[in-house]
Amino acid sequence: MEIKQIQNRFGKIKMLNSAAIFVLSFMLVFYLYQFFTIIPAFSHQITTIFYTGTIRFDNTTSALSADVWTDADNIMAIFGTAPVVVIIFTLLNLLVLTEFGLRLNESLRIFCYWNIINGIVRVLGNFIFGHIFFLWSSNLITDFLEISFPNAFGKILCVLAAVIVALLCIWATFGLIKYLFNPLLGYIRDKSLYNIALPSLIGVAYLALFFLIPHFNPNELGIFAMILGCVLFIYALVIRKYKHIPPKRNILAVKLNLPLIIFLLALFLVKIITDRGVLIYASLYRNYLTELFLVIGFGLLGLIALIAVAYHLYKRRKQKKKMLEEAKKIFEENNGETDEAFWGVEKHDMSKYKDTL
Amino acid sequence: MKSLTHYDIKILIALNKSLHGQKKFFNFLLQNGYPELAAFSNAVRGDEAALHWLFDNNFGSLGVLSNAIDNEKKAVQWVMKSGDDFMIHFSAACRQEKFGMKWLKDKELDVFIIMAQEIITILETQIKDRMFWYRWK
Repeated sequence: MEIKQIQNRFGKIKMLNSAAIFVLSFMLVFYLYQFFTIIPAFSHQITTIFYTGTIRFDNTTSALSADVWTDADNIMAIFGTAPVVVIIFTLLNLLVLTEFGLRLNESLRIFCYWNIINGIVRVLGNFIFGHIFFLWSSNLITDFLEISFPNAFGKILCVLAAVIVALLCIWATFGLIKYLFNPLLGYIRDKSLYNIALPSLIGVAYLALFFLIPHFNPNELGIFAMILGCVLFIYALVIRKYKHIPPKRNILAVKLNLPLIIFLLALFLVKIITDRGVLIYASLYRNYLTELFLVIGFGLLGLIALIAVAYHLYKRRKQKKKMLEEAKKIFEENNGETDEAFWGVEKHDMSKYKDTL
Repeated sequence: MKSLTHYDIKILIALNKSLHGQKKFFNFLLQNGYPELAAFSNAVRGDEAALHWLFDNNFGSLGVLSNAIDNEKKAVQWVMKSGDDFMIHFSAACRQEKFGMKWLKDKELDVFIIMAQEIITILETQIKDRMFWYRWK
């Protein structure tokens, strides 16, 4: 096989793996956002229906529920919790990436990087497109604070401010590229193309199938456009900044991350359920403190268990790798002159075939 | 005073890789009796602590060389006065002065030509890191 063919083959595998990582990160941030919107709504006794790409809130006005949608504090609690959680999550990823950088596994680095981009785009995108399309999202916070409503000028100002912040954040994420790939090795263009630019296109195509069919979702469409714009901007900057480094093509062998790809395809099963809507009923006559404690408690326990399992698997893998390396070292040191006794007893006497073999 | 020319070719290749920021080779230099080269590679990459280490541990010439590569006035003057042909021309080559690279080519010091080219790339990257994107050329 020619080198170019090998390069293309590994390039395609790398692209698919990175696309899967991008989709996983997008889904993680999306569900985190949705979860932390539903929980405060639930605690304010608001019934919600969880759809694939949106959340519908029960907005029927009754003597009991009327107060919920008129009080700015409630709106801030319901629509403000998720952005705060996603911002904390983004900052945590930023901390991990800048602290450990190139010492981390490449897939983990890419995952952290996508988490940062998706976090920024999710928080600012929901705000911007919420304002543009008049959605029930974090845009309601500024509406209820009477900054962007009823004054249309305030609305435009809010959107413009968010767009400027988004551009600044995206510009800042470009600086993180050096924590992702070592630019001096010459692979940065190749790696940015196969790990960032092209995978985002594949990932967005998958996500468009997930979120835009059968119900069109303007918010998600805007977010996809933001992600693609962001990636294009970063890739153009990478080329411009590192053009003085002679480019090399990376031909490191990679294996297809099949379990992750199967997991992401299986997510379409979730879509079948969420397309119909999952009703999260909250009675106006009850206080859900106990239920909330239970949900958060079990959620945290589940998360800790998941981290423990992941850590255990990681440690076992590392131990296995170390043992293999030690064994390899022993073999190398022996230089092929291994004592016959080391190989154990021969089961069959093969000496009579010595001449024929 | 040990010059870079006194090291074995394999060690110089490892230094080249360490200059790239490859930790494996940095550790190799550190653990195999060449801490000064490990420190030199980090000093070129802008690590101030590594530069101090060189001056505090009798490898001042490497520290000065690192500064001369960065075009620091006093360091360049010191290198010029030292009369060490290699240091004068190698640091000049890293500063993209033509006579330096020509001297290395004439003397057929291939490994140092590659090293100088790597250092030029590192310095350009460092300069771009400090600039706004619209000024990148």
